[in-house]
Amino acid sequence: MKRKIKKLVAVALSVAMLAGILGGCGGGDNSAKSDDQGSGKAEVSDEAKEANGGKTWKILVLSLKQSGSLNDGFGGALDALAAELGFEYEVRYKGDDGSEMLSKVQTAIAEGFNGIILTKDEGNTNEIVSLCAENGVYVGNIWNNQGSSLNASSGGYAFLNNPYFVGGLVDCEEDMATEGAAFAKAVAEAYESLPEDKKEGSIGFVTMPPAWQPAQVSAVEEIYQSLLNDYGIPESAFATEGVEKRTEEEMVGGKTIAAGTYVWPSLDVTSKTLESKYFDNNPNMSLLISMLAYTFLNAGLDSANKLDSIHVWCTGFDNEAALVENFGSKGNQTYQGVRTAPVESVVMPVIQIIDKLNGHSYADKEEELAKYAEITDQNKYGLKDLMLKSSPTVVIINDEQMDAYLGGNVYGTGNAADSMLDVETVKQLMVTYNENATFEELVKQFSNESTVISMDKVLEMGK
Amino acid sequence: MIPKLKNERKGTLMKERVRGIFTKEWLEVHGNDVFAYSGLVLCILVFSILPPILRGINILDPAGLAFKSIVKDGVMYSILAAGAVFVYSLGAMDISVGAQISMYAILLIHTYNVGGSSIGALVGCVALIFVIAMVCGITNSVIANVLEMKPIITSLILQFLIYGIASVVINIWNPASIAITFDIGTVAMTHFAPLGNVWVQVGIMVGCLLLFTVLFNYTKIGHYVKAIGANQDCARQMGISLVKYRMLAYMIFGVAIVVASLLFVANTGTTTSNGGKGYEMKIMISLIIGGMPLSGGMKSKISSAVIGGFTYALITRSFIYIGVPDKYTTVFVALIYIVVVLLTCRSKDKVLPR
Repeated sequence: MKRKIKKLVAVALSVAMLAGILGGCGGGDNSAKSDDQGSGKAEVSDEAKEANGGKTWKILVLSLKQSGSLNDGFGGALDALAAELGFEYEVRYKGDDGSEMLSKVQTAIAEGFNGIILTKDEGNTNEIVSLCAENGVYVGNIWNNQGSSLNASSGGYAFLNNPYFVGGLVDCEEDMATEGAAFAKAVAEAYESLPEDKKEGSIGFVTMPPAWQPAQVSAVEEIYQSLLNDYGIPESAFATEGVEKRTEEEMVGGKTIAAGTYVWPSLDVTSKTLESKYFDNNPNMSLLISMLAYTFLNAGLDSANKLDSIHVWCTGFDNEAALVENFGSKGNQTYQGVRTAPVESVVMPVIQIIDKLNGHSYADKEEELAKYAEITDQNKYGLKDLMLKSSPTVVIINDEQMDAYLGGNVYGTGNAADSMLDVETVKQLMVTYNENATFEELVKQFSNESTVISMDKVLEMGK
Repeated sequence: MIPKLKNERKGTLMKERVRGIFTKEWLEVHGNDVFAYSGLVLCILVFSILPPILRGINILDPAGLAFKSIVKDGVMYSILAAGAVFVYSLGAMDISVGAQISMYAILLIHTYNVGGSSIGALVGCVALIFVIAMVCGITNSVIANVLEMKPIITSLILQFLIYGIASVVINIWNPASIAITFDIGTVAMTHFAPLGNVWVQVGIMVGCLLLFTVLFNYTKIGHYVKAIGANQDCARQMGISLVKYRMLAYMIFGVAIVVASLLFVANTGTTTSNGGKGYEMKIMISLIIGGMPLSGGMKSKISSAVIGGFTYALITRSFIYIGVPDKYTTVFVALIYIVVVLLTCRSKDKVLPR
């Protein structure tokens, strides 16, 4: 009897699975915005058909998340352009590790995708780019500086001059000057408003692991020096109990960090946890500047029981309740500032891929690239700077800015109409539609000098 | 016997055997095997017919990436699962597989780099990881025996230890990166490149399977590990050395892990400190789908590894080719797994076949 019941359940599950497969079969009839899987398949314009030689290109974004605002944001930003530029897109989760990500790239190539955008560096970009190049697929990059891949061996820079790697954007400025300045100013003001007996050991720092984001180590040092020298914050104000000092000069991320500087706490890369030791050793800490992204930071603060007693300025914005509902004047007011790169950043490598697929490229970029036909120890950093540019930085430092970002920008709404980038502006940046388009102008419009992507634009659109 | 009569008797026996197939009694004994083989055939049929119709993807095209990635996955799972059959036949498990693969991959890449990307360095490192794998196998089995612990506990300890060592060494050798890869460039530029060819991998798999099949079916090792898995006390009383044959089983699995590590490096070209994470579960799922009893014993067979390995490779890779959204493929794999378990699980108390 028991065996019969098991068989009946097995049959029922099989039928359910079959129904699910039939429902999902064939790629589905996806509208321009799909709630389920973040894909877009709108009717391509005649101009795009002509420009693309009759083809509709397929682009895959391997996102940091399985679902949520980020994926919807990517979808919205690409929806705004897909029909007019002649491409379909899909947003999928990148996988939990490098092997999974490689597997997803293999699957995507087998499915006929023409371009793949990577959002995380799992240390295997060289292999991914090589595989894509063998199969005529272009690869772009956003929001990571490819540090793990570049440093995974002495040959790590090889993919940068591969013709099938179009480059892209790292996660904001490597020196983090914009958010560094904003956070330093905010923290200095917050420090001054602390009661005298709460000032000692009140300001702390946390960084991203050097293996992931080496540039942040020097960025944090610069913020620390700014608070000391520009804002006159005394040494005693910093939470340094249990924090070691460098015994000798160190090269981190291409920059020299002097001996005697603090080695601020970071995440353990294997366990991906931030230990509570730093917070336990510095119980007076109430102001924290974190170059460690919110995703990793919040769990560490929670386990150290600090969420109610600390104000944080951090990187790595996430539309999660724990951050958004405790930001600024809301909730327990933990988060007072956050930095993010706008989702519209994904457009930068996508349009380069479409140009390449249409047989076009930027003359100024190709001229520069020609200097790096052979990669040497002397020129590799120049090549990296050419191919991996800093994305625009959006710093959210008060309630008004947060409300505008969530309520009026494509990241918060997932709506194509809320993207800061319109089709005509983008077409002017593409060689396919504008033979005078330059790489220099493309880089400018996807940087802090942009006239189309900025916090001011977010506020304007949010009204 | 007169030759003519001998042939007639053979013919009669054959007819009786054929008549006996698919009877109720026959199915009671061979039901799980039929189910496993049918599952693989069904998967091949479904995923070779539907993708071309629905999405223009042909998984049977040997030049296509779909075919190559499915076959390479199937090869990895089959080799590991075939080696694991020896351990699972004992009624034991080894969950340090992923950790070992990660560690051996790190050693292979690092030694190759330090050795100037030479074939001598490659050969030397293979020898080194072979020795380490044997030590791990012996450690797993002997400690479990001496301390009278469940083997899964000792392998869990080994897993943590090896992941920890892997994390430390990669941090020492590559402090600025979470990964290690080849100085010379991609794996295609190294002496590992030939191992990345799908047909070479199939050849290696066939070689491993032949070796494991001979060891399992035609030597004392195979007979005794099954006997130990069926009834340990009975085996001991028969004079079978439990320590010796457990050790041999783990060492044979170690050989499979070494081969799999080489293929892993050839396929990925890079690794992190936990790059091999998850293989222990993949092996288990492959064996279950292939009809292998997890309690071990007399019904263990090497064919479970191949059937299960390729079935698992097909179902994990191919749902997306028929249009199932990427984020739901894991759910469908899990459903298949539950269906298989429900249909094939059986009471351990059932009388074993003669």
